[in-house]
Amino acid sequence: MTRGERLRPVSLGPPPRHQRRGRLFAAVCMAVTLLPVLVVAVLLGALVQSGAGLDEPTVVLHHLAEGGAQQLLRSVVGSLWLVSMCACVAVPLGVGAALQLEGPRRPVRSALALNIASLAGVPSVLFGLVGLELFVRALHLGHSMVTAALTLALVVLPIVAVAARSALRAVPDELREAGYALGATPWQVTRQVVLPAALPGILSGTILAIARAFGEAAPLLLVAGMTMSGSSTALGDPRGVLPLHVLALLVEPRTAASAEALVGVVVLLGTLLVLSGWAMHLRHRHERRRDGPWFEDPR
Amino acid sequence: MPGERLGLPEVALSPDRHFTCIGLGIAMTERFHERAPPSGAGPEPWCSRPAGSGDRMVGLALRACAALPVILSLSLLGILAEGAWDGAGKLGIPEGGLWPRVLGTLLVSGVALAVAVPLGLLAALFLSELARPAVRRWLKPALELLAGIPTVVYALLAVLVAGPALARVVPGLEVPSALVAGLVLALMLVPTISSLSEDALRAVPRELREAALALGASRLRMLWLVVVPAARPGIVAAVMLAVSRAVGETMIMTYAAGHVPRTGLDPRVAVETLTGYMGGVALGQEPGTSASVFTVGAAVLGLNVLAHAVVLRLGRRSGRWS
Amino acid sequence: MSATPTPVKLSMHELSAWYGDRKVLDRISFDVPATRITAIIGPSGCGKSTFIRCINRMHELMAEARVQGRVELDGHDVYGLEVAPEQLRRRVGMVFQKPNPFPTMSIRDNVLAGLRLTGTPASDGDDTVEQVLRAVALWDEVRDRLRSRADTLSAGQQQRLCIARALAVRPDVLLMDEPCAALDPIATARIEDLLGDLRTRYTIVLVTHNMQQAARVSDRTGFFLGGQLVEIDDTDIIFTGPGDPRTEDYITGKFG
Repeated sequence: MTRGERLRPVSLGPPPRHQRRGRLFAAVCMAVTLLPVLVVAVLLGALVQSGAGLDEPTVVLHHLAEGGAQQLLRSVVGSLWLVSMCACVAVPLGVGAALQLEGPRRPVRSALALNIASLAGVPSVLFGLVGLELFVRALHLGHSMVTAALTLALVVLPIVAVAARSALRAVPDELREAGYALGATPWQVTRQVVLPAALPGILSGTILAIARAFGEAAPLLLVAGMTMSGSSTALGDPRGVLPLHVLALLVEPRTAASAEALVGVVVLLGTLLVLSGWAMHLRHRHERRRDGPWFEDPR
Repeated sequence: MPGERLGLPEVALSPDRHFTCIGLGIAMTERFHERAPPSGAGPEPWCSRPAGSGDRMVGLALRACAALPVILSLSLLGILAEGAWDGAGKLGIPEGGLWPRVLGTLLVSGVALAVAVPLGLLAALFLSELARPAVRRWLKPALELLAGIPTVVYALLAVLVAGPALARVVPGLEVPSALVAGLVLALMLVPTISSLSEDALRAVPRELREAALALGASRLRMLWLVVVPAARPGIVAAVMLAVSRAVGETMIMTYAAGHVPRTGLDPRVAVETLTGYMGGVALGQEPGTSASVFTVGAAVLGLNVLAHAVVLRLGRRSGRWS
Repeated sequence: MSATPTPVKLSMHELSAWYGDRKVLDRISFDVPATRITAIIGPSGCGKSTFIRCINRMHELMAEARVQGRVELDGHDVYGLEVAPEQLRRRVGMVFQKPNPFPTMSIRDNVLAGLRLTGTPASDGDDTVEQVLRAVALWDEVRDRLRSRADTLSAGQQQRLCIARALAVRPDVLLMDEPCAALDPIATARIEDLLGDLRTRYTIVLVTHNMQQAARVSDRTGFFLGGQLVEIDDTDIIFTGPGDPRTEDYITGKFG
């Protein structure tokens, strides 16, 4: 809705009471909308400040120089490694499942779609239990990075599939028909007509899913078989990933190690901010383009 | 080794059962409907399929992808059902019983929803109906970013910052407690509720609004008497989705709700939730067997399915506008 | 067959079609002569769209669609076991009611879409583009912006682009499903002119709800009602002295 569309009643005297009440209501609503954003911002600020208020800043620097920085770096690299393994498994499978579901509507397909939608709502801890049973105990992969990545893939797969499916659904059927009428096979239509048209939507859904995997901790807690006393060491150890690493803040608050974990929080949030911003940008641009034929392009 | 703490029988699920799951999954996807061209067709094949088209392979691969989620959900149910029984064939019950943890979950979720639902709905109303485009353009993504903050960070905020700050205001507040966990959880749930409700509000057709305004209704009355009722199924679905998120949330529950299973309704003291128990056992902060963790997991799934079933039902009904 | 002045291009034998349990076409049998325009008229829901979608096997893309009977193209059964629907559709092109150019492709790529989609290398791509765009009288309007997006064209230009796209695959038969339904009168007139040019080289089956259009452009006209073919004959006979009273009622506007 643009400002020009707003209804401006012709003034017939002083504004009636209900109109003033309307403005008051709008102001209250705006305050309420701002509230959670501001509260989280203040809390984050306070968290960072609590670390900055360490008695001996030099202790922190010393700690970072002594290997703390290296440990932090290792956890960031560990997280990236974990998330890329997870994406390599989950994204193709999720998009594939969505493609299969977006054929003609049939009872079997809508049952499958319902199943995927329900899976996307299953709490991620429960996938931790599945990972523990399936990958650690049945397949003997151990408490390894591979186990962690596969478990995260279970969490992410339904999310990717749901996002990809709604992007594919937005592709009008006329385009598919045009492709078939030219003699293309289903796979040719999918690859050259449907996928390009749905790409922005699929991409933004995938980025959001990856962002989710980057910050996910609960299922890792279960499959990592983790004890907080254990230090994060090798690349192959899922305890070293960033979301679990920052929990060190809770073990020994207000020490050099906790300051290092605090830097970890900032890195974590920064990465996610970039990822979500990117996804939002893609989605926004896509929506505007979809409006294209009907409205004058503002650019 | 923590693995041994949770680890019980070597192979809890026998391999043949995994294969049964996989077979069932494939059977539930459809049969292969492509007709194969007869190999030795007539002397002059007319309009026949050129050799080497990869469509068949791709079709098979896509079907396998679609079968995977089915296999996954069957495994989930099978694993939870099977893992909940210990070696002696008894249902694993956590020390202190299941009931206090269910109540704890409901208490924390209740606190969170009591805050998040009004906030989320007013935010949705503001963003969809009242905000100027310029304000909306910035406020909406900012609010949605809250949903993207990992729950570990919320847990840290609850324990290190929000808890101590609240304790200064609320008399008798313990720092891991239902209130602290609930309030921080609420921050996380607001964007869930607001963005889905906003979609529902925006899907209400323009004609309905114009009809109300043309009758002389004020903007506020139009919203309250026409738009909100029309969007109600979608709004209820948003709330139920928030419920299912709250029930399954683990990190905040583990760190900020405490590990004291009790049945009271006082939100100022520590309680323990179902997911908090799972997290506590995984961290080695409290005793538990593999069977009891799986039992608790099954209870979480039960509560979650209950909430989610309502979402799917209502979501379908609210789809009639779009 | 080839010696006769108007050889048969397509022939239908007892063609019936269903959506689920609903029968939408009931034992249609007639022949379509080559290089002529055959118009199919009838009220909404009479099965005329389903009928032409059965010719290039687009009907079977719908869920729970079913077909019985034969459709022969040059004497070959298009529902034969060895027939690949994709190959058939390259010989039987189709134009839809709503212009549907591919929005992610340029004008040029849209023309060549049929070749690119099916993985056919287009060595003389530029020639093909110019040739078919000239055939649909669009060349002069778009020659300077072949690389711009197809959805920048007007609806009438988009529809002509879609016809060009169908021609680029070099079909024998062109099926048109109410190609002017979404267009204004001027754009409609241009498409009708175009049909007059194309009839010399292609066999065209035109579904239309516009009786005047059928009378203006077609050589033969068939009238469908309730999934059945009421009658088919030369266009001037249908519009001046139809054999069936139901055809006369429809043409004179007594129903539908």
